[in-house]
Amino acid sequence: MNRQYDVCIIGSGAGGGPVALTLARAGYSVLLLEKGPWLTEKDFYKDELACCRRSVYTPKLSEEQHVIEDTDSDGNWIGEPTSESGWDFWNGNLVGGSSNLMSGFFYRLKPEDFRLLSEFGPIQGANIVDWPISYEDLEPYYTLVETEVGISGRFTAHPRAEPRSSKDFPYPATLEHPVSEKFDHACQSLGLYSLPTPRAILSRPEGSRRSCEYSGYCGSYGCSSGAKGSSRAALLDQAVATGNCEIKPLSKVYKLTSDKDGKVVSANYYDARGQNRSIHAKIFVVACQAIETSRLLLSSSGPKHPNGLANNSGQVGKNLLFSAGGAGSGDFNYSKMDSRDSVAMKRRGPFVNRGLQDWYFIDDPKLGGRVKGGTVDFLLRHPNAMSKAMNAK
Amino acid sequence: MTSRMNISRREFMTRLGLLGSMAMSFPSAALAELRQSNANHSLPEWAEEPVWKTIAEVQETLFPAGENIPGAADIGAAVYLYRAIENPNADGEDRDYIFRGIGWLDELAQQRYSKNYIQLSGNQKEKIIAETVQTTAGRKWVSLLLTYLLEALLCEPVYGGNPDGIGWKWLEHQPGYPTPSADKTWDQLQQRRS
Repeated sequence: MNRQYDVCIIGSGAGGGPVALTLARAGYSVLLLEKGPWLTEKDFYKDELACCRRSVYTPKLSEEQHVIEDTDSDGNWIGEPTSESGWDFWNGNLVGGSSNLMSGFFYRLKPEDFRLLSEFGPIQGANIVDWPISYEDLEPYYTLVETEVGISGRFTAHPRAEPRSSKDFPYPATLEHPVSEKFDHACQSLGLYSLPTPRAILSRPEGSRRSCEYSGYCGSYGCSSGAKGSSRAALLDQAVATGNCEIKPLSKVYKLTSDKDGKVVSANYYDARGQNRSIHAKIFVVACQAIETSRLLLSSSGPKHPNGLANNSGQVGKNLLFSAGGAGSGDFNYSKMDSRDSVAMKRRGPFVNRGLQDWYFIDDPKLGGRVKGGTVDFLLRHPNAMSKAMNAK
Repeated sequence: MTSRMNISRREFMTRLGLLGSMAMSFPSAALAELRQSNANHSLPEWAEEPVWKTIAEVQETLFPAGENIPGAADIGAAVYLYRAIENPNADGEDRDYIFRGIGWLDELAQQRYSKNYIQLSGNQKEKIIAETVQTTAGRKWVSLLLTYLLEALLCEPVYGGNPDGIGWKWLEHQPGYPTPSADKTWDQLQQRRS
């Protein structure tokens, strides 16, 4: 006989983790189904093959098909399966999801970001709308996240700063690379505001999590010290410790079954052995990132949901948005530095942790008036040696 | 699999060398020591098989050793490749392609010089490789071997390449830590998926 849980959460990443911890602390029985394995600090090493060149955190592309549509070199709109191109959008199938592999840049949105339509007007071809909530509504939760996840940083007053109810970040900034000081000087002389980057990286130990160990390999890698505030290290370990949250790894949910009244009553999934199973709960939370959430909702049609769950408006699976941006790079010419400087610049480990928000909004007639810009982050080139060497091929 | 390889081998080695400062600070004593220690080790049985002997020769042609430059044998390229493609968790496609390519290579060597690749002089071997990359399939094959060579050069030594971190030292690369033990390699972690 299956036990009935209060809440079943599908996906254990940045979406599912906070929900699991909050509900488990409030005394609800929570079951978390995650299709990836439960890896921990003991499984994460600074191994480029495991992190970035073999499929450790992604499913077999031939078994879980995605098709990416894009324009080809002749401008034709074509679809290509990821299993053929080898280029995929999986971000990390494991307990804690892709937050295990993030760099942990924890910016807040700004009040204007919640009302892009009324601030900047419509964009042709886009169905942009203002958020139904404001920055002020969300501010207490930003503060909560900074405490629970463990954000390190140093607040600096500047013209683009969003209002904060807490004076500073809960943890002091992580160690900084010698280049950061040079960057600050350069910004000062250019009249720019050099801003320390808030990071989800502990600068001192907290509970069972150790402080950052500054190995110089952070983004794309699982964290071996627990300093990185992944959903797993920062939230799920605590959720499990309440005794109210159970995590079932290697459980791939393929359908949510709804009854004749339209209420979702069970999740159907394949367990670690490939056995077909189902779980009952009063409430289901779908938190599998944009693509897999849409897939699960769309494949979960029922008597009252002919077009899939939560799809009355036909918007599920549309308006897919990843963070967009551009990148530029430059080189340090060590031969033009004195030897002490060049040794300092070659150092790997501490973070640059600097960003500029001077162009967060751009008021330029050439762009047709005031437009949304963004943050310019500064960081050292990713240290992965093989990927750099492959460029020489 | 990647197929991009439009540059000469020499240019490739130079570009690679530019990633570090190569000759400037490379501890050549480390390479000498490694060669000494390699000379004292006997080869595993598989390395004596004709196909693997040929693979090792091709790797040395593509990634030749210099006095102060580690070559394919120095970086454990064959050992790395063997473990990588004979790994039950590998997809098998690369193994098939590499083995098939060795067949083509010997065929071409027979056509041109009436000998197998391994019996050719250094100059003849280079010519055969140069001819091989003229075709799309050949270029793809050489590119695949180069990919594994570069992985061998810069991998965690637990995978059989980059012994004593010789590739890292050569390119002045600062590796991360902690490094994986034999039970935490990528294929071991991948098995946790099922």
